[in-house]
Amino acid sequence: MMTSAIRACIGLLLVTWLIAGWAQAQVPAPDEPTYRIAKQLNCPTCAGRNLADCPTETCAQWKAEIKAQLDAGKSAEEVLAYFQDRFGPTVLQEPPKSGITAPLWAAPVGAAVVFLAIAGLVMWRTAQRGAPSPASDGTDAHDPFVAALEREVRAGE
Amino acid sequence: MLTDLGHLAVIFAFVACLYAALVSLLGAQRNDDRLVQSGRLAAFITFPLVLLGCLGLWYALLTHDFGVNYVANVSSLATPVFFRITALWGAQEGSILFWCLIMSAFVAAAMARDWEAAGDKPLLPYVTATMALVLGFFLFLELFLANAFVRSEFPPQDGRGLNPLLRHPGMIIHPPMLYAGYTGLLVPFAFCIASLATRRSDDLWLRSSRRWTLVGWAFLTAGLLLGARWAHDVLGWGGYWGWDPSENKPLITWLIATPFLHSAMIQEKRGMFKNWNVFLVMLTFASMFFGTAFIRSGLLTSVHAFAASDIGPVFMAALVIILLICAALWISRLDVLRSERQLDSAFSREGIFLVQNVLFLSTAFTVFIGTIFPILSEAISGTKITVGPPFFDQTTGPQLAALVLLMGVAPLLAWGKASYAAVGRQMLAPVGFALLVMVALFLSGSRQPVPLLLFGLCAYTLAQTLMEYVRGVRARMLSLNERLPVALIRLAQKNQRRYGGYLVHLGVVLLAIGVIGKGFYGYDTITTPAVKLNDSFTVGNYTFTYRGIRPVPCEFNDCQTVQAMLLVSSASDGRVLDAIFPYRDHYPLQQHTATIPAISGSFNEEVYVILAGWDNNGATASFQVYINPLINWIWVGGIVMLLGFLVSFWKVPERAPAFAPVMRPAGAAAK
Repeated sequence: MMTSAIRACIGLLLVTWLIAGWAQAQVPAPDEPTYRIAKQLNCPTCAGRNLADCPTETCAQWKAEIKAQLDAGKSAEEVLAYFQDRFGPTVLQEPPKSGITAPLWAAPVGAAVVFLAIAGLVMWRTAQRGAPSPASDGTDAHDPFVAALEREVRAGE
Repeated sequence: MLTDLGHLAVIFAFVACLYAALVSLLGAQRNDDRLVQSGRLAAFITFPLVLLGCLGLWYALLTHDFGVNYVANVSSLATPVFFRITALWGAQEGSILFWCLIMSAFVAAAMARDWEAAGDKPLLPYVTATMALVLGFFLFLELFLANAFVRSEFPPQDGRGLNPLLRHPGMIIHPPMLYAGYTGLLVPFAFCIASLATRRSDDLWLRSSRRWTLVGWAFLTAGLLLGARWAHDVLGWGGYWGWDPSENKPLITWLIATPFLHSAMIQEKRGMFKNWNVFLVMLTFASMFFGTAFIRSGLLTSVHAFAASDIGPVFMAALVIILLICAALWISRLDVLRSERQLDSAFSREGIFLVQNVLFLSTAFTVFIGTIFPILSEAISGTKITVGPPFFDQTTGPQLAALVLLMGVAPLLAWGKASYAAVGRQMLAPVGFALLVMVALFLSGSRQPVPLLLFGLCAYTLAQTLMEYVRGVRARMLSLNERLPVALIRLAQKNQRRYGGYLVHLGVVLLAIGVIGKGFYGYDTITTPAVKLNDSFTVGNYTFTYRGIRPVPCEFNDCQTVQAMLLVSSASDGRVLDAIFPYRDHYPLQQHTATIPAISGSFNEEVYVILAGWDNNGATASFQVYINPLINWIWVGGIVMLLGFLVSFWKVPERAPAFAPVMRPAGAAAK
């Protein structure tokens, strides 16, 4: 009685195991050349991830497409160009530095230059206007204790 | 029943907010303290009310009340108690309620402080009104656009279960941390508005809200770090940061709040940069608001964007109104915000802080433009361009490196005007140390110029920051005859802000070392061809032996998990180091697949393995292997940053009275 119950349990377990195994019998993974190219492409279904890191079905099809083209003798550049022609520049992980995405690359450089220039101008102007005060001794005037300590350190050096 | 009571409490909280704002402003206008106090009390009770609302929803989650739509969406009968509690912030509706809870806690804490003793009572009505209005806005969203309490007529038998991605400790603490960060930064904003409204020219608002700003900043930092850790552990993309919009949003706020913390010091010490501080605190608030609007409206696709909803336009309209009010208030007060003194020299603490501020802002702008470019490009040309990590890495990298350098120079410069000779002298030893480190790295085989230079930079800043402690400790040991540990503790105690700040700097340098290590020396590969059962493959210093795959029970019985077994051994001597089990979860109900990495290796070199695929029930399998050198220093650096925060924040009884900064007459702060 007992043994048959255990046997039934084991049987049931085996069946679930097999079903689970069957459902997951195959998950194709790309080979290294495909993986390298997939790293440079965006995945259509995993937002914000590259194709290589995305485990979805659609991505598996894209990876298969890359592999097929590589097997047909195309170079990595040709495969990337194919995807760009088909889906536009949005398919690339790194937006091109020309065309519609040129302003994107120019903006940070422009901002840094303009911001720094404004800061420089402000400093230059105020420095021109204000009467220079004597160079301080490098101490923090608002913390007399620390200031005293630092003076002592300097004296000791 | 309890749930409906919670709903009612949230409605009352909304009404209390409106009342608090109205009565406070009226009280300020009529100079009637009773009205002001009434408003203060009303703002205070929003916290217990919203808490009651959360308790109501928690009750529904814990009792499997699937009649409540939200409960059915984020939990199921199989969801364990712990995740039913955290499911409160597992989706849009609940997370807005939770956001309100944290914000109301900050509001209540601000209302409960002793305003009389702190000497900033004139600001009270405007602080109350500002905070109540902002909280009221979020409660409005909760009640009218994303209500978590809505019931359906036909309750389902079982719920959908919590989003699988959110079942990680990092993801459970990360949202509360971020929310606390954002809402903490609401406090300085409210004080700034109050200061402008009362036409004050002093730094009272900065000093009164300083500790709140620090708390907000620390929570934001912790939230960012936990988010990174979560991405590292769960998303299976080999890294810690993917420049996803949901990561960029808090980062932008952090990149604005951090320079604010620094420039606030200039106003406190020198009475300068008043306009700039007003600008920064408004920008911090706007970035928080704007980012939240973007992520929550579903405009941007991201790892965990909330489903598209109609709260976007409401958010945007509110943002425009807030910006207009801020701008009007600011412009009308330009006359009182004049600087009390002029910049003596560009070569001074103030000067370098200005450069630092500007660099932070341009970095924030860089992240911002990269994040919204998909929307901009879609609006202009009709194609939604995706901006991937390479853009962010290349554009923010140099700016962040410059900031690390500034961190090593700024502490040397005196306020007012620094002397070149003194600064040069103090730079000698750290520069020597940096050169030594670079030579050592070069000799040990690191020949790439860029990372070599960056490591040198980190070494310099590390040494310089440590020197700050050494100088202070030595002075104390010499002059006061204190022993080393006593001297160190007393030094930090005497100037917590300063030495806590340096500790944060140390943390940043350690974090930078991790970022550089992973960024320049990290690599990844996929096994090609697929590995046969019991075969081995080698990546870097490690040999992996594939021992098969097996289905394992899924944590909450709602997924199919397939686990691979690998032995890790040293490639040089064959010694077995570890057994690792990367796995793959498939959630049929949510149609979601998660690849959970297995992590091995040493502290300085992490090995991160993902099960990429398999054939014929595991006769062959493929693995993605990431070698992540130094990545663990990111977490260490993060912890050191938070310790630094604790040092600057912790109130040592000796420095009491609590909440009562020494009052100085207006404008006399730096004279």
